[in-house]
Amino acid sequence: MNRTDPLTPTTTAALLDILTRFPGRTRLMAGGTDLTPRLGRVLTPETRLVDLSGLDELRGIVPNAAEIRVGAMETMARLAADDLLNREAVALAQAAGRVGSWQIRTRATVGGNSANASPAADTPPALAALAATVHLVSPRGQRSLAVEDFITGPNQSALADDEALVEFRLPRRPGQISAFAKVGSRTEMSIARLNLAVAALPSKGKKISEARVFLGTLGRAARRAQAAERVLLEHGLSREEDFNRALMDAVAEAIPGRSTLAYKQSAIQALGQDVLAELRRQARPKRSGT
Amino acid sequence: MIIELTINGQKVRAEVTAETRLIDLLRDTFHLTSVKEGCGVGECGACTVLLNNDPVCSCLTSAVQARGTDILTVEGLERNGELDVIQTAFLEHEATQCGFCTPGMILTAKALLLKNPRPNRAEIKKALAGNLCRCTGFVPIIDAVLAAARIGVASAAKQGKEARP
Repeated sequence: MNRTDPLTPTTTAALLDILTRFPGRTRLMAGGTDLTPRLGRVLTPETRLVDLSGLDELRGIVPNAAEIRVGAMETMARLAADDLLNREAVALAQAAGRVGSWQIRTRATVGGNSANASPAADTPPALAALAATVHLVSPRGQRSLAVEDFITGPNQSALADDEALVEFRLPRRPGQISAFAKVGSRTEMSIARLNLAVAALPSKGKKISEARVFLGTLGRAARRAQAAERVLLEHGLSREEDFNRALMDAVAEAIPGRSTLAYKQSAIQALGQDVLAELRRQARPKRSGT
Repeated sequence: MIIELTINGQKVRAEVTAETRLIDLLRDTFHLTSVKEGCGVGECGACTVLLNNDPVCSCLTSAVQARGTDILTVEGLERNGELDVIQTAFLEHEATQCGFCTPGMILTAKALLLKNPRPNRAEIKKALAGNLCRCTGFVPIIDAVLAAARIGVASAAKQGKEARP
């Protein structure tokens, strides 16, 4: 076997064997949409390219009583079209549907999106809002982390060089509503200049009993905005101005002195408005027969 | 390593390395030069081919990941020397000027009509959002896809009528 040949494991056991045999010398390829243009620069004569596309174990969007398990190799196209996610994890389906173009969504994977950890990535804030955990395997064992802890900085994740991200787990919360919004330089085929994801648990009388608000693009992919969460917990979904003010403060805290600060503080208000409107729509009681 | 895949209906085998992209395989090994490299980073869509009936940027697809798949390029659209209805519509609506974006546009349109035979303008625009054109201003392209859809639907209806006893 030529040393320039890609390795093509078909089971997790085979993948772990590769990670053992080539410690620190592997590049994992999921959908390839981030890695392929850089491949010539990142592959060295010692590095082995590991193609994950043969790992059916890393596919599936599977519910059980407590959670929905999303395989790392599931594509943006599959996430966006999935009925279960469009009912129970709307922010994730929406985020996946806004990534790139049809061509990109056909190949780009949810695992690769988090592992690459671009600050502008769209699915990490949605996953974090939905309290998702990532599941990592290595020859040393397994571990899980909250998505917002897995993303450690701009293009930085907690993935060790002998680890693979295999799955996300989203806790199922009956009645949970969620939404994602993004603004880029185009309506499609656009890296986010700003994105926002919110998940909330409505309770009686238009109140919100739990809320998670995450912003992306501000130096790293999933920053929590707890002051904005408190506005929802105290006032429900109707105090747009207060919610937006908390978001603007979060932006200023994250990127003080950046030349894009004024733009992003302005744009976050539009995203806040859109997300609240979408959450209010989801929170409306469903009429029977519709 | 050697991989096997199907290209334009033909089973083929090819030698690939870790760095071989699908576009390299198609253009250099199989001389399917309808596949154009516009940007090399997946933003322009000129290199679009269909992989199992879905559009992908061949500049971003590793050749090894195309093993076992069904690839369609424009060379595969002609049937017995007859142009596909989308190709004819592009000619009739002047949807091609320099032609560089055209193969990618036609294949994305093909994928769209396979999934949605009756798209409206908004659906066509969304589907083609990953294919950039610097010449036509896009309008003739969208007109061509709409026209191809109408011909396709009419032709399918006609075949349905003829098939009934």
